[in-house]
Amino acid sequence: MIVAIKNLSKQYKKQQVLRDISLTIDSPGIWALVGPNGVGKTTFLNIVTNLIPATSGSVELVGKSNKNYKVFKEVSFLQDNTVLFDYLTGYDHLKYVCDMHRIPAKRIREVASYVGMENYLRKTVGNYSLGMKQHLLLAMAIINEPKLLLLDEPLNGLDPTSAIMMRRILLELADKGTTIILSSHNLSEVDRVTKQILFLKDGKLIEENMDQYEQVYYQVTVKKKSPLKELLTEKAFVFDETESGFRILLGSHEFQSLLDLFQQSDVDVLDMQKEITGSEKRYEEVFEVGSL
Amino acid sequence: MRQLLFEMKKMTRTRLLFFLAAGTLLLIGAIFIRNVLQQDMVTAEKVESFSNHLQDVSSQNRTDLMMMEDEPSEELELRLNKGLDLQDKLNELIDSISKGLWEDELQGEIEVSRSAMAYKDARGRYTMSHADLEDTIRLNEQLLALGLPKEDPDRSNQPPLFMKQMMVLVLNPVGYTVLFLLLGISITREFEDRNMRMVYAFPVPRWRLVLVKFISLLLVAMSWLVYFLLLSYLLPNLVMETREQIFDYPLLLTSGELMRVGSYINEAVLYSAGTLFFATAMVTLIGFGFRQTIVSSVIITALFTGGWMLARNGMDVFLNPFTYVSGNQVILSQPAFYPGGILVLLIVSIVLLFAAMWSNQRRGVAK
Repeated sequence: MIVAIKNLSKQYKKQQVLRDISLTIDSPGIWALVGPNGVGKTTFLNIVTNLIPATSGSVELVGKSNKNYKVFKEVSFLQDNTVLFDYLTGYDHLKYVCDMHRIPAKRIREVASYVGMENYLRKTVGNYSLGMKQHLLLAMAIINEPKLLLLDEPLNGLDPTSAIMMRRILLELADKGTTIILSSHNLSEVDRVTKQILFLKDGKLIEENMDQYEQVYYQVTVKKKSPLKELLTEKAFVFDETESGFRILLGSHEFQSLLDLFQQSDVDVLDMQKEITGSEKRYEEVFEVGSL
Repeated sequence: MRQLLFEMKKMTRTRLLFFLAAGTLLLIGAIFIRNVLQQDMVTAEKVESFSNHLQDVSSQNRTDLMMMEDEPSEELELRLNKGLDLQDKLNELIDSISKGLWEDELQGEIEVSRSAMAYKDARGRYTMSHADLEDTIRLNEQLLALGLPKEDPDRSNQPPLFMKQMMVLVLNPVGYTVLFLLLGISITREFEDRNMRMVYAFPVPRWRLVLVKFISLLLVAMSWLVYFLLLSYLLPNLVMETREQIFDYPLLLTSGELMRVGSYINEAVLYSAGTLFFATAMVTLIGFGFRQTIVSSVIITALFTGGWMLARNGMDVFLNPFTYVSGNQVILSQPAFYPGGILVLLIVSIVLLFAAMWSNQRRGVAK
């Protein structure tokens, strides 16, 4: 069992942050912990890693109690960048991690190259941008090739290039057998890396697989809207009209029907873009986000 | 070991060691220069002091002389004779001091002291007490036997006496408070800046984190002590001519007994090392316990100040580790506390360290 959480609760004075949470994960892959700001995602990760004591309940990671310091030999926790020492270099941080895990220092170059931070490895962290700090934190988290990787808002504030790189690395690690739990409120990024969502609401964890909520839209740009519009309505497609065409929701096996419709209507399709969503809609349902 | 090296690397990068070293060098250098510049004043002050005594005794003699003319008595005659003898000896002493004849000065002071005691016994007025006069005689006899001139303990440039002066000036409650406020920050800031969250997420038992932090602070404190003592010793050695047997220079204890300054320094160094051990353990416990710089600083200051005040008010308790924060006072007034006091410091330190390790074993980084 990679993660075994039983009846985990956390209470601060009168505020119940986590209520009787249970969760088991026994395979590699990526799980996303999702919820609005202040709901307790960071608290949950801190409790799972025993940085904060739970009020009640138990946590086992990679078969060991989270209170056993040896658990961190196989578990890494990527926290926010405030944990870094501003007056030390990236190399100093990675060397420290290697020393703690008894890993040869030559691994530093490998990992630095993998995350793309060779150029600023020897600079002090105080001179790093946000993206550079995230690269360093990621390097520190993966240098020991953990079985379980926990990440707290890893995509926060990243530029598109860094976000793409982070996403690529996470997917590669998951493919190689690492179990990853990342917290995020960046729904479009969550969609791109995993379908396995853990919604945290009112202290409770709601496990969802987004496959069942996945929705496929096609943005269709046409020369003339009118013939296609009537056909889409007649065939009971769900669609919205846009400035340049239509946004059509397709269920499974409907793609061929749509293509047939284009042929039938003899419409000039200038462009067609596929768009997959699911978590945002489900998020709205879970957290009862009303319309403005 | 690697963890320890990392801790030392952090300290060098924060420039803590640099400021500590630079500050110590500036302080010692400033005091040394001040001592050099004030050597002439030492002679002038001695002359002034004995001149005041002379003036006082002369005045009394004149009064006694007038009274003898009006109402002569044996008692008055005895006092007058003693007073005139004292007056002569004071004149000779002042002359020796002015000419820089240190052996004559020492002998002259002995004779003045004996004469002053006899004058006081004859009901003459002399501001120094019998005990002080006897101490002066004992001290000067010892100096003559060793062939050493008398030094001003607060302005000497002879290495062991300068070391003693610096130790009294720095290794006291104020000095320790400043030193450990600086060192304590290295613990609390890592909690406040959230760096500890990273450290706590490694496969290292938490008690070891505490122990390594303690050892790193202790190494810094002890290194600073060695540096401080070396500077205090080397600076006068390089600049001034050192007298032979200067480490045998006698110091007066509160009990009136004499102690070699070399022995004083030995005891002071050991007490200081023990106090640093104790203070490091205390700061480690407080730092890991409260985890806030302001709160920890207030507590550290209160503990050192409170301990000093207790000692100052005569509450030098053997088992109280704060007694030894005023090392000079303990050495001069409680010679029997040595070397047991060092053992007390070590034992209390170990208890505090274990308390720090135990209390942090199950505690998270935050609530």
